[in-house]
Amino acid sequence: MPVGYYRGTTPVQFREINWIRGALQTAIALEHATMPLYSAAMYSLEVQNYPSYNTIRSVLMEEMLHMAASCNILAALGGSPRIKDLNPGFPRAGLPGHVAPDLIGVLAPLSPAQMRNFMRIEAPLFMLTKRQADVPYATITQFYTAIKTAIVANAAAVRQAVLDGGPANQVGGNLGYRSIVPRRGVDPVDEILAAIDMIIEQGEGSGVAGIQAGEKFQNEGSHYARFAELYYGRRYLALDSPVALNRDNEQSYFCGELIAWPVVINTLAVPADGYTAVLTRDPESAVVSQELKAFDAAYTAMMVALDDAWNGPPELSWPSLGEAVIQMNEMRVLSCFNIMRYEVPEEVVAKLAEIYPSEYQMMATYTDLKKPVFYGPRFVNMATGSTS
Amino acid sequence: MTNIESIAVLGYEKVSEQDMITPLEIFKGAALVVSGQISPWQREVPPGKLDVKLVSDKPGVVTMQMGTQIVPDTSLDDEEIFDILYIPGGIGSGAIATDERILNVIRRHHESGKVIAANCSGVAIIARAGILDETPVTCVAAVARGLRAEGINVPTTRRMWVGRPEARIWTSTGSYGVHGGAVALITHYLGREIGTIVSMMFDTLGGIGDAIYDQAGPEFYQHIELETTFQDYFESMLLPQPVTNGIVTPVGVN
Repeated sequence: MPVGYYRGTTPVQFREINWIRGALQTAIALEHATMPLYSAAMYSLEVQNYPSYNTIRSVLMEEMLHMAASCNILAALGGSPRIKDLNPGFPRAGLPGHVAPDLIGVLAPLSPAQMRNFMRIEAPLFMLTKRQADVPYATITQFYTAIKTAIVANAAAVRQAVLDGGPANQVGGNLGYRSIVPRRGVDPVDEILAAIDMIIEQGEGSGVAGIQAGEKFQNEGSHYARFAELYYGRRYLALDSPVALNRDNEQSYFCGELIAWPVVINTLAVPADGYTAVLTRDPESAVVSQELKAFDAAYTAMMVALDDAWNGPPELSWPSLGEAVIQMNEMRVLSCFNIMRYEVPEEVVAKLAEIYPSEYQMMATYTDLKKPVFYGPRFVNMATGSTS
Repeated sequence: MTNIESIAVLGYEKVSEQDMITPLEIFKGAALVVSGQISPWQREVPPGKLDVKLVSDKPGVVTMQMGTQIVPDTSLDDEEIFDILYIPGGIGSGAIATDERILNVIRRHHESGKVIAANCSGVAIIARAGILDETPVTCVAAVARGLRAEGINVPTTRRMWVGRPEARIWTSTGSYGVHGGAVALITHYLGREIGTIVSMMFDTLGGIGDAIYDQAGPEFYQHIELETTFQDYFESMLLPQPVTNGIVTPVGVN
């Protein structure tokens, strides 16, 4: 490998301020791509006050904070976060930015298999197999670390960019979101690095002390740890063990209080066509399509509102953020109380292998096809025709 | 930060082939990189949009100065605004330099905060639009003396290109300097990674090296007597005195 090159990704000598801005846009897309996956699982819980519901919701809320932090950093550097045209497209392999390329990203109900996917998304490097780890960005942390390295290497340009400012707004500073504004005596580089550390530690843990975030974050369980608790059905306990937590002994660390597995609405894992082939065989397709589209419209409206919060007139930033929250609540209602009421006809479920020969295995893995099967949300951004 | 999503290269009767086609190809090459269609390595930056068009001053085929004909992507819409408006040179540039419609389009772009770039005798066109201040520019030798006489700061030692991002003006010399100037322009606005990929596609980096990352290109040689001879020969064609109501109006007499 030539000196200065970074395992087939953008050579480090070209990672200047423009690259940092572009990589942050990818980070925004990456954070956003996790949320439909987590939301679809959360919506699938029949009763929404289970510990499992609260756990997924807590991770989802922090993913929103992470996305907001990345947006604010990009805005501080003079960029304009592009939100309304984000459209991850599911099912997909990996996350945006070629992160975790072995991941199967599929919109599906909560299940042990899906929890494994969620753990993969949030996994620290030391919990991966050699095959999983042997890519440039095996973890989200590795992607953010590349951004941190470039920020440090271009510190003077970063400081100047923050001073110069840009057209986009800082959003949510008084809600506790990380915002970056020039302040006397405060180095914006330190602030940006601290914001990225928050993202990293809340997701995967401190990287040096198991799967908890560091002291700055009250040693809270990382997203990985919280998902692993649901997977193993027990709370995490930091053992006083001479052997550090690893892939082989992981389960022994989950020996705390029992967590009951919730009752789940058995939604059909969403195929690439967004159920089009299923709907053509469903006598109730008109009304189901209407509900699916209503959800997609709310999702699209939320994305547009978020975009407006960052890129619209500053005085309308708060109302736009409020509109996004309204749409988030609407999405939950439309999914749980409308879409999931509709059962996929048994005769159609019986023919899924024939209808979706290349996706049937995926559907059978994430949905129990022996039980009644229901529709689930598709998360189609109607404002864009492409995926990102 | 100047966000660049659209570039227009102006085409007109008797424009120079090299002055127009070279930057057009370089910008269209950059668009392929921006969109992710060309990616020599796994990029962290997501695909973006860069719309590059050859825009003719009037509808129809453009016949260039050596007779080559080209079909433009579109013709000029006076209301349309591009993030970069690029004005090439050529023996037809003298007529354009007295065309109030084109000069207004240039002024409107600059007043809207957009970037104006020009090469060769195209620099005389943007000079006539009145958007140049006292800071240095570069241009082809044939119009350098005339522009100086009109108060434009063309240093005796010309640079291959001169970028002035604070003024949103980029100028290049005649055809030889057009390539490097166009690559330097997109390197500045689209970033070192895209500039480098484009410079490798078209071999610019091999030719002039790290100069592509600079706002001013390499110095040109001076041939004072030859330059004077060529200025005498071409000046009236490339830098005609403007005509108002049938009366020649001297420019920049000082």
